[in-house]
Amino acid sequence: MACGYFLLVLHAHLPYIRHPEFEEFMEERWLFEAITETYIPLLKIFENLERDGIPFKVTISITPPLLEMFASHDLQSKYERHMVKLIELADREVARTKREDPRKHSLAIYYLETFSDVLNTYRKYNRNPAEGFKVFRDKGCIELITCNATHGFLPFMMRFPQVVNAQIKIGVEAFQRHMGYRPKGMWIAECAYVPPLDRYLAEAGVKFFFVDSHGLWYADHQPRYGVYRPVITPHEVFVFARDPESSEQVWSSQVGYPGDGRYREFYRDVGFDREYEYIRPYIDSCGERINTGIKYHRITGKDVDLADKELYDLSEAMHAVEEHARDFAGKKIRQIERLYALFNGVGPIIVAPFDAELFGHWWYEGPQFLERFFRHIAKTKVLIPSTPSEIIDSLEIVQVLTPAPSSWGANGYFEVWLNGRNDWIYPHYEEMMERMVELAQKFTNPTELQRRVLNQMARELLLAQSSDWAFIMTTGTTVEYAASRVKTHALRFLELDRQLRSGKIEVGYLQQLEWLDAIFPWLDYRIFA
Amino acid sequence: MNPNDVMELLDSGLTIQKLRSLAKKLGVKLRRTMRKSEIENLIRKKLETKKVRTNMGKETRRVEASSGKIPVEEPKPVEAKRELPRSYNKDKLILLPVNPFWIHAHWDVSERTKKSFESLGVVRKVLRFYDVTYIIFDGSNAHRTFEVYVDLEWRNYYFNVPMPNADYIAVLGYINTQGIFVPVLKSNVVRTPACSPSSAREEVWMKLARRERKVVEGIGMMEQPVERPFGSSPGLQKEYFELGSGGGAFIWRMVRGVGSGGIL
Repeated sequence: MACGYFLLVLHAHLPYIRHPEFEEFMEERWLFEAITETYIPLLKIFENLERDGIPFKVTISITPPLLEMFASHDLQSKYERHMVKLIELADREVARTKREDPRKHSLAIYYLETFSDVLNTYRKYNRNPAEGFKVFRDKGCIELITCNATHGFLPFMMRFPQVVNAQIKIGVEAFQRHMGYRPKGMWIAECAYVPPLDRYLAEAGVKFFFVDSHGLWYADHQPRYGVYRPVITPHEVFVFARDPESSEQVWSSQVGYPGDGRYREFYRDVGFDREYEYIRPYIDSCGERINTGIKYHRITGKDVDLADKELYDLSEAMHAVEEHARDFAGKKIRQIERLYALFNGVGPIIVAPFDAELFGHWWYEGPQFLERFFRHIAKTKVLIPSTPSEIIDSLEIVQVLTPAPSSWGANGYFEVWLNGRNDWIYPHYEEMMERMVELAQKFTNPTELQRRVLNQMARELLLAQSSDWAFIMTTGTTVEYAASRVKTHALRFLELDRQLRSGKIEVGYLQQLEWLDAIFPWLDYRIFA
Repeated sequence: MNPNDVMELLDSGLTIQKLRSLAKKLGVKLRRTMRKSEIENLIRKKLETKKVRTNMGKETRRVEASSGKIPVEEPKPVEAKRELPRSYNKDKLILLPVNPFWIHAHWDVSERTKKSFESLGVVRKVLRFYDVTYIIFDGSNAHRTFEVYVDLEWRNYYFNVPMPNADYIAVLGYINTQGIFVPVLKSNVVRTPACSPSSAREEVWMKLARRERKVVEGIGMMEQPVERPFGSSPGLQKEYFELGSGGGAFIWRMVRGVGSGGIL
């Protein structure tokens, strides 16, 4: 009988956004929304599947910035405050919708219950979703992997082997410190690969990573099984490649699932719909209307005006989830059968990586879709959910090749992260990398104060390097924030550099930066030497 | 006036006269030729800075219990107001690969080099690209040489190159009065990404138990992939934003890849 494996890979990442100097900060909400709508809902579906004895396997990459934010005490408190307010709003919505459409009223009750449950679950896992994921890792359902330090775009750092090495090793170490064990795999940011990244990964003890489909298609040797079997690089790191069909099936705007009219509409939110005085306490403190997370409408149809959207019906949405999960499972089984025959009985391995935040935050019903999908494939023996480490352990023979330079961004190469909208950042990255390496080699025996300055410079460099900033500049949303982050970290780096070289270190300034940009408190700059 | 009230006023759609008087009250300087939308933007900007300041006022300035650091009492560091330097006064020419057919070059020129360029009088500044695939470049042995005239102040240039999977090096220089190219800055080497399957005919396999490698005759890919023509794939990320209704603000469009389903 035909048989193959399915590797669901969720890449959980947000840039390090933590502003302890502000009581509230709009961009910190990205984390809060992701916890409420994605990370906790994922934990809930894992709990459901486990309770019902449904076998499931998921690979989750949790990036170091996300781990650091999860563990940050001030962000934890801010998240709780945020949730308390959201629950208060939901409560007011329950009272208010009594006078409105009864369907809205029952949705308000649903939100009140859901948010309270999210907060309880959050507290149950010690206010750190990573601890929740670890519980399921320990049960063998999830493989957790890391990412390079701050999700920096590695192909643009290749001129500085020390910087690449630092990004990779810090990624491993951060994970180990937070999770208590060494990760076997690494998600390289944006799947952005160029040779010889595999050598650095091997040196850091990383056993496997992921590339996009054409990373294997255009490798130095043709991969016999295309993207449907892992390969190994000359430096002996395993590589898994993305199945183009899976993402297309899920996400295409033409045929993909999340566009179904029964699903929840992202853009209609009480943050915009309610009158200003009423909603004022629950939107941004500057008074700008924003999404609160309470939404009463469904997509209805592609060409339907926002104002004409119909009310959301949870049970209808769950019907859609059921249909789509069944459809997806069917497609995967047929794909396995087709490939199994084509490969003369060699089991294909389908790798389906996604941004985790797409499930729940963007596609509200996404986590339920995953749950239903696992329930469906539990009934078949054709498609077996698995993890990279399990696959690797089962391999006896593997093809050796060097993947081609590639990324998972638009057009498949590097232009999303280097184009007319963001190219101004690269001369500054270049300068910082050069100085960091130079200083790390020069200061072999620093004073305590010099050591702190150098460590902080390393933090500023790493924070500036997050690929998110260049990405945001390309997509054209919240560009100002992204630009100010690159500028701020570069300016802080340069100022510290100036103080270090002049020998006039301002302790107050340094202390302040250590407080503001507090990522990786254990960081040792000598990793850049 | 409370910034939020002003925001609301703005949202309600004011006449240009009202906007002007509002700007005056807030101390926003206007030019006479300014259009309504420009005035509105300036006012919003002003409010943004106010918001930052009000927020700064109620900073908690509490340090995380675990970090054990001394509370910081100073306001935010000053660098927020400064701009990054335009030049680092260094001589550098850096290449980065963009895709199989484009290379990005950026350069910095020190004051000294700039002066020596100036001392030459009017000369053509030239950026040359050399295809140096599998050779050790000595300045004259490139497979192909390309050049463009550049202005040093451009500081960067996107170069369209003909060969994927090839090594390129760039040299910035000038054409002297004898018509000869004089190199000034040499770049690093970059390789353009490949965009077609390898023509290598063999396959290498490894037996994991004994880490034994074996070269066998290749059979190519058993399933021919469905590729996308170069530059034709906007990436699914564009597609998700078209789901639902669009409009409004998807606050954190952090969606990165999920790739382009084939690419190239």
